[in-house]
Amino acid sequence: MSKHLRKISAALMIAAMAMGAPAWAQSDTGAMVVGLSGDPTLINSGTTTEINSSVVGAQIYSTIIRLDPKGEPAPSLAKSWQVAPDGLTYTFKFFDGIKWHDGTPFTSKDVAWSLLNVNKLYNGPAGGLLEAVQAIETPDDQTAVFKLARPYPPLLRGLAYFNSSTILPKHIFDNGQDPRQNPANLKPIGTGPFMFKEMKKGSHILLERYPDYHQDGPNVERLIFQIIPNEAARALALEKAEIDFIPYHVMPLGEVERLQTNKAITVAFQKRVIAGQYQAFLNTREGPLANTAVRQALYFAMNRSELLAKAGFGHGKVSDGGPFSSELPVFYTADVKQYGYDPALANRMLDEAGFPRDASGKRFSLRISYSLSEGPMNDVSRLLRSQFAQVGVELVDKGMEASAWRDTSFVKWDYDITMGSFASGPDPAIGAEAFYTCKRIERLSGRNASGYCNAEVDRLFEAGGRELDEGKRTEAYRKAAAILAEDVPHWWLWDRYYPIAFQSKLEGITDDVTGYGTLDRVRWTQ
Amino acid sequence: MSLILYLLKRLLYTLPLMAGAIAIIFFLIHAAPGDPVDYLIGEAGASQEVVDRLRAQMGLDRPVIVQFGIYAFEVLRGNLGYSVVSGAPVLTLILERFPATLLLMATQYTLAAIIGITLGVVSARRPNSATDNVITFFSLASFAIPVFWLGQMMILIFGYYLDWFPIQGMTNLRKGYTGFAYVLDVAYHLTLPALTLAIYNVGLVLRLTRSSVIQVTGQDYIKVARAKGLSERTVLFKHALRNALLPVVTVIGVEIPGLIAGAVLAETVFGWPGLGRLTLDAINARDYPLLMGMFLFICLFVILANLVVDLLYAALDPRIRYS
Amino acid sequence: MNASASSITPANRSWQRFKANRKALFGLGVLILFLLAAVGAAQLAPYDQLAMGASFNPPSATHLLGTDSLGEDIFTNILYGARTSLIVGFCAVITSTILGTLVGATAGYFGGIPDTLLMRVTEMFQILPQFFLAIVIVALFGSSIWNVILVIGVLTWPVTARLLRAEFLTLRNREFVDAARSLGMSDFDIITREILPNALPPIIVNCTLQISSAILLETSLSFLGLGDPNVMSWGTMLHNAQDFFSRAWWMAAFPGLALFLATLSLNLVGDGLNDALNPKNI
Repeated sequence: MSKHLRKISAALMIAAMAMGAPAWAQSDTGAMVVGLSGDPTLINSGTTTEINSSVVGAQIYSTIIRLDPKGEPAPSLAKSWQVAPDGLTYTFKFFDGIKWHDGTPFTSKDVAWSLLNVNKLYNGPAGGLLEAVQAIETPDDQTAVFKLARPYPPLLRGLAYFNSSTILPKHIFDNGQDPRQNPANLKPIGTGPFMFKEMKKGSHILLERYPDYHQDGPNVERLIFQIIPNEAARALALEKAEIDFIPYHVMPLGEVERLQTNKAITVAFQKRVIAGQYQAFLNTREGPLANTAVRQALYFAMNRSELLAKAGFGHGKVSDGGPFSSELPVFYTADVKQYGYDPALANRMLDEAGFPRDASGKRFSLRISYSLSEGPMNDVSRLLRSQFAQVGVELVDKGMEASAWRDTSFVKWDYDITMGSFASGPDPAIGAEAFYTCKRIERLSGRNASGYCNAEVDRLFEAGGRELDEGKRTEAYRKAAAILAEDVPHWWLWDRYYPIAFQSKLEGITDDVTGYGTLDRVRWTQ
Repeated sequence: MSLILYLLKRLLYTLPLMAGAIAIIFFLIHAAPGDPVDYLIGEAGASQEVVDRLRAQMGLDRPVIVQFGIYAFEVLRGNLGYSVVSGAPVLTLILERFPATLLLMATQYTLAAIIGITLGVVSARRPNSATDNVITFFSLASFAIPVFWLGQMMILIFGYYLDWFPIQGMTNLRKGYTGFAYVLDVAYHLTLPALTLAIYNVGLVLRLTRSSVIQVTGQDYIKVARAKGLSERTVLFKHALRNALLPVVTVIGVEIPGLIAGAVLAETVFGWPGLGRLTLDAINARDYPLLMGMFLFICLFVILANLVVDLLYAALDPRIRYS
Repeated sequence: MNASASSITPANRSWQRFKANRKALFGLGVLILFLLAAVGAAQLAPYDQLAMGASFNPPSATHLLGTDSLGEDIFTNILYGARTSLIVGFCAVITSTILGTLVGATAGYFGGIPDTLLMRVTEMFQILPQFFLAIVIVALFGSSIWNVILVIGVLTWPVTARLLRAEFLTLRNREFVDAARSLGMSDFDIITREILPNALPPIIVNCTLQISSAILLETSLSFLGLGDPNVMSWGTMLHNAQDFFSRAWWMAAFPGLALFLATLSLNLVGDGLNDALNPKNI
């Protein structure tokens, strides 16, 4: 090679480097890009349950404890904890020298103030979780003592959740004003592994490594969340390495199969202890669905394997445990009434129940509603329309936008069938209970909208929620499951699995079991 | 009458219209089922007590007419309110996103104007020739292509299979470019969305240019220019085109609301961080103040754009006087 | 131009001019095909509307245009989609034309205060950003096909109103109107029998173009997920296809093509009608 040519190519290379590499971006592996479908409206899981907010917030804030890859409680802000034998006192000891990103020391007062003054008041699930907590005492800066009015076993795991139990800084939020109006919601200051740098709405959120993080890591300098609204484009962007990770709630299910064939991409399943199920609430107050035989018959008329295969792309398991997902260990049992696909039986049952076909072959018509933003529900509805047509039942599709759906289904109870994804865990006392007990027949989102009320079921849930002995708890819940599977106030469609996809060179992503875990242990290999 | 007086008169004329429009939208939005509290609480639900408190804090428990009165008063004071979801000032949220949309719109319209005018003039040179027929057909075709579909096809072909262009967003976030490199990077990301929207808009410009050039070339001063022995090209581009530009400018004004529609769709497909996405997000969250703010902003923008078009019109055609 | 004179001759002349325009004839041909598809969807479709087979079948002899993610036949859906698109297009334009005609005719014929008032209202509607408002209304109030039609109709009438008003302003002082008035005809009769027929040509052309933009608007709404879930529409098909556009190109390509051909043919016909009915703008 001639001298000249070498000089020119050297010059070109320098020019290219000058263009391509700003001072702080030494290598591509210094950064990690996560795809999201939309902006978190704010970054504060103390006041909202929005998943995007939790996924981003989990990197900036911390919870008292976290869950290890097996789902067991592990240290986070607290280095150790003790639960009194009577289940009424929880004592947490925090790490020394934890500092908020603005340099202020973290103390147990932050924990007490945040949970009782923000989370409990503004965050729905936290309100339920902390209902039994009477007081949080802070004998010193490193210790917090939770005093409970009654035993509440789910409390410990619940405190590991970012979408309910994020600890906020007292010195920033305790200013006498509405925490939802606090400017820190858009410029959060936390104790987590990453510091907030900038948020450009509609484009991205940029976080940088917090050098004083009290646990190990993080292992990337910059963590970027990029907004990609279009489903298919999100998968293409991953393949083109424009992004590195697609979390469970924004994973385009139809692309999973194709991504699996790409060696540079790993497709895994996010473990989630909330054990979500796609299920349909049935309005048991009026119309044909008030009749238990009709609810059972139509459950038989449903080809759930087809629903799962076509609408869910096979990512799950047809529910066979009634109200409990097979992903909810301990409490799940398949020893309940089963509903295999059997249209002939369904037809017979409907005839016997007194709903004969009319001249055109139709028995009756039902409205089916769901939120259009809930991935596969539109497809489920289309498939069900086809399946129910076989037994002479017409479905009228009432798919609607999310707020309107919550309003009509859960507040106005104006529906026949309404479907969505609902949690059966992390503990039946937190998840399933709200859907089936009489006292939860409230005009509120995520409560017993089907109007089902059975004193025996109530008694069993009551016993399960108070009982400290795991064996007795399990027995109570399994009995409740058997009754519910017989009465079918809901149709449980399938137990969800949650595919995620990321660059194969990333490791540590699958350690998380919540779905919005901290990415402090994630690193690039090679 | 002076120009400034004319502008003032126009504004005074438009304001009551806007006030009416805003009232219509306000009542429509508030009459719809669902409200921001449902969104904030999410599927997990919350107790009646929490719901009531949130509603009271947002002022949603008062009669709609009172809410409107309060809103109108605040707007007159120049306060568009705060997003009920993020708590940020509405105006800030909008202005934050506007530059991206403006960049996309300006680029695509410039492209559309250049391509459209060129093709229009070429087409008008020999009306009903084979070239003219092909171009006319193309112009009609460009109206008929849905912009979101075209965008997806562009992504698939030029972004994915050929791998020439990035497919999402406005910049390469991993690299985090600054300075001139940043400008280049944005231009690179801008290519596909701008081209997509431009193709969609070329048709109209092309057709208007063609018909006005044909009309103008029949007029006397063009015949004189030809008779003077000027080359056909000079006649077309220097004389005919200048007059033919008038309707093209008008069309920009007429089409600006349409451009916003195209932008909403294109921004969704290309992940472009502009106003389009903001609108959809605001609808999903039932963010009333933000929706109203967006609406006000778009209306004002349309009105201002039309004023600018009027001014351009005057600059291009000295015969027009304001009275 | 006297309305009472036989209209056969000018109509004939227009048809001759239209026939000479090959682009317009092509458009008319395609449009008739779509009309046939829409009317005969149930008879022409190879599969039942609710039939579900294997998912993601590429185009083949059994499924001419392939199947979608749920195993529905794309060709069948395109036929039913044609019905929806044309219903939306025609009904929305009928709505907007009725509104526009009422307003435009009243304003143009009576002039004065009614004119000023009605035109202010028209201008108010023209300030409203159509697409933005359409999204908001359909998203908030539900997306039944009649809602979509109503929204499109209510948002697009101002153009018709202004066109018609302009025509009325020029026509209302012609001799034949004066003649009718002196014969004691009522205002209503003068408007409907004398002026309106003469003002029709630009309205017809405008209608054709508005149908195509109504179809595009419906498709755009459906693409954003705001379509009526109980009827098949091309926009809904494109919406469903967007999640799979890298996996099943036929899901997006064929409905897109149908939409393209339908709007193109309407535009060609509109163009041809314009040339045929207003020979002065060649």
